[in-house]
Amino acid sequence: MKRAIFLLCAFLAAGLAAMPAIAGDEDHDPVSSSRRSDARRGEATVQILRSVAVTKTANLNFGALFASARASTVRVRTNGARVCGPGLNCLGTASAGAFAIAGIPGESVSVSIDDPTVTLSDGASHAMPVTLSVSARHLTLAGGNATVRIGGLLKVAANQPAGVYSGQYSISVHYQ
Amino acid sequence: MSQPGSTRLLLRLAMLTLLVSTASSAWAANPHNRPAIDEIRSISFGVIAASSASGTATLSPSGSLTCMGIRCLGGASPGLFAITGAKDYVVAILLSPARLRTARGATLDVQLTPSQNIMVLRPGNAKNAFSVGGALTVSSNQAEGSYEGSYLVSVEYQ
Repeated sequence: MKRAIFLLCAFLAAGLAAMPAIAGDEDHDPVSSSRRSDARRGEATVQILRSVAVTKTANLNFGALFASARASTVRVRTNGARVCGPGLNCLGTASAGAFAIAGIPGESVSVSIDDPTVTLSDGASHAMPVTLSVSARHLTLAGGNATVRIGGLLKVAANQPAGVYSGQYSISVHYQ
Repeated sequence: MSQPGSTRLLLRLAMLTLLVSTASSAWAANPHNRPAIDEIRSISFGVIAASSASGTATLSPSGSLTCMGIRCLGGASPGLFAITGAKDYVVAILLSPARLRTARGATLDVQLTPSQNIMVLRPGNAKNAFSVGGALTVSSNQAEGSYEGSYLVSVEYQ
């Protein structure tokens, strides 16, 4: 019996000896002052989608004209219809310029003509200015696709020299 | 029926020993309420349209997104974490970089920034929140896809 009491007392003493250290450590660990840490892994995500693609599908074409002694204009609307000004004879087929836009389905894009005034040249120092217009400045890519059309107003000088006149323009398309 | 004095003492000691043992076990289950981190929300840069040019997207810990050279289409949100622990702990917050990957193996690197580098924990068991922003660089013609990855968030304290 005495031996059992001694063992219990020893166990009790060991337990009580541990208590002050725990009771005195209400917030911080007093045993070690070395730097410690906790760590977790955080998640990060991003969705990358394809850029918008623009492809020319038709040239802006004013057709053939017979110039006159009077300055005039020819307009090609964005729907392709041509309006000849007074004194001009318009022949052949006219067409609006067209671009196919492909991108993210359902996203909206803005369309702008980089320089809305271009000059057509016959390569022999004769020129004709064109003011361009766009069918829509904002489009939604339904199904990921849309078409934008370009019209223009061509100024024809009096007695404009005969020839084949051509020039270039560019458009920019951006997601909104 | 009376018990001998030595037997009563033995029983009392046994009960006291049991109490001490139980108290020690409770402390061991929650040793010292040390700072611990929990992720509340992952960081997302949302949807970005790649282009033929490279660019960067920078998301501040407060949630403002700045995109240079690329088109950001929305859906970005900073990461959010909470530290719990005993009051008055001073903790340092450290973040590793992250490498995001698609299932096809394309990668994007992200540098992460916490809303604060040092934090003094508030009293009680309050969640001490901090947010995480970051910057990612999108290369020209970056491959399409859903990029995912992880980074290490650690708190150091004494």
